[in-house]
Amino acid sequence: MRARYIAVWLAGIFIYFLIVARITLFDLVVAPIISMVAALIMGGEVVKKPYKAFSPKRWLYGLAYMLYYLLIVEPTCHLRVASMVLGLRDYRPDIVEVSFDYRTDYAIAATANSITNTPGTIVVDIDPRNKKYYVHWLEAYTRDPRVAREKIISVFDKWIKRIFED
Amino acid sequence: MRVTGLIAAISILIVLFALAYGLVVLGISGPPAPVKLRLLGEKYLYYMINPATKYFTAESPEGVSAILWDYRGLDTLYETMVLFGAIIGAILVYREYLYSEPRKTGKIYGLSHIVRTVSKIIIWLTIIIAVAFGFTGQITPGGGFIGGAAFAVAPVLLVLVYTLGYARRLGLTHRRALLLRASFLLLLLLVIVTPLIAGGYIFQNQAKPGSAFSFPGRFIDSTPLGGSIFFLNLFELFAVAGAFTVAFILLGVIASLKEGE
Repeated sequence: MRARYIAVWLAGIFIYFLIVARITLFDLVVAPIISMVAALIMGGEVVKKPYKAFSPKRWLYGLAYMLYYLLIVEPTCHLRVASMVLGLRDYRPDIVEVSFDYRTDYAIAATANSITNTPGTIVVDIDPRNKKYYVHWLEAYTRDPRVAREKIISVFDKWIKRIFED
Repeated sequence: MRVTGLIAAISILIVLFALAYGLVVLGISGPPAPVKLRLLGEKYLYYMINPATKYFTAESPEGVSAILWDYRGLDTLYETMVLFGAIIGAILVYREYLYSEPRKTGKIYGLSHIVRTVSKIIIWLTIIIAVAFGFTGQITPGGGFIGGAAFAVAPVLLVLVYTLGYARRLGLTHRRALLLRASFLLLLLLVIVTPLIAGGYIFQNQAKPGSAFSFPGRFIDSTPLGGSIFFLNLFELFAVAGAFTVAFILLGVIASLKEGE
């Protein structure tokens, strides 16, 4: 329980130095105090398993995923939607059920945001109890949640699991 | 109850008389009516309504408005826009309640799972940035009031995205917020009267004619502290944050009462 607060406190100090972009003795004194205020209020909520935050492997995967997502996934999706706009590609818009098997809130939110941020797919609603996203999809040629899952989430799935799941 | 009321009334009267006596007779804030204007004040008065200075006059005898809108109009405009943005943001998070049919069960569920998860991080970051505004207000833009107002985003999000009960579970209750406000307001007053106790003027920061008292101007590593400005910013931050938190918790209570009807 206490480890959660310490993890969030340390992360907050790091965030402070990112914001002010300078390191003076003054900052070294005030940063821990500032971060403590935030950690005392939100420390118990921001992370559930603090040891995960200290795993360099997860951070490296996170960084790699960011580059992969921004440099490869996003441009391909943009090109695909652009060709639909230009009439070079067929489309069939519909809302489909997509199942997921994440256990952590962050994995669920990160995948939903990854889906929404790529053109062509938007998460309209979510049913956390039955583990389903409702996704508006421009190429909804199937209504099978498992096939849809293969087509929509499999790109992000293995990355997100390595970053956020156990 | 009646006795405490009487004590409260008498103490208010005593404080009022003490302040009036101090200000007028003892001159705790310097001479009651300054004979000589400060250079900055002189410039303001000279330019705010003065047809002779064709390119500088604001054509307004009301000094504060002239400066606020004609001399630093962009600043005022941006302040207005920040407030506008804040209201738009609040409406955006509240739209579920504002523009949809009231739920029949009378229970508030908060917003979707994804919004909740992301809001956790946003609330945490907001608090860090808000408190940093207060702590570094003497060297970078921001300051106590801005920090307190930014801090207020946290209870807004907590109450609107989650529920009032969730905010309560995190320890954000109106009692605590009131206590925060009252204690930091007292500290603020303490900073204001400290130079008076040390033989100087009320609200004094650095040394003035007739009083050598100065708040520490520099930190150990010579980072400017702005003397009393550092402390005023800091205490103002938590006083304002506490005040806004009380207000938003009250709004949350009203909303949940309406929802329950």
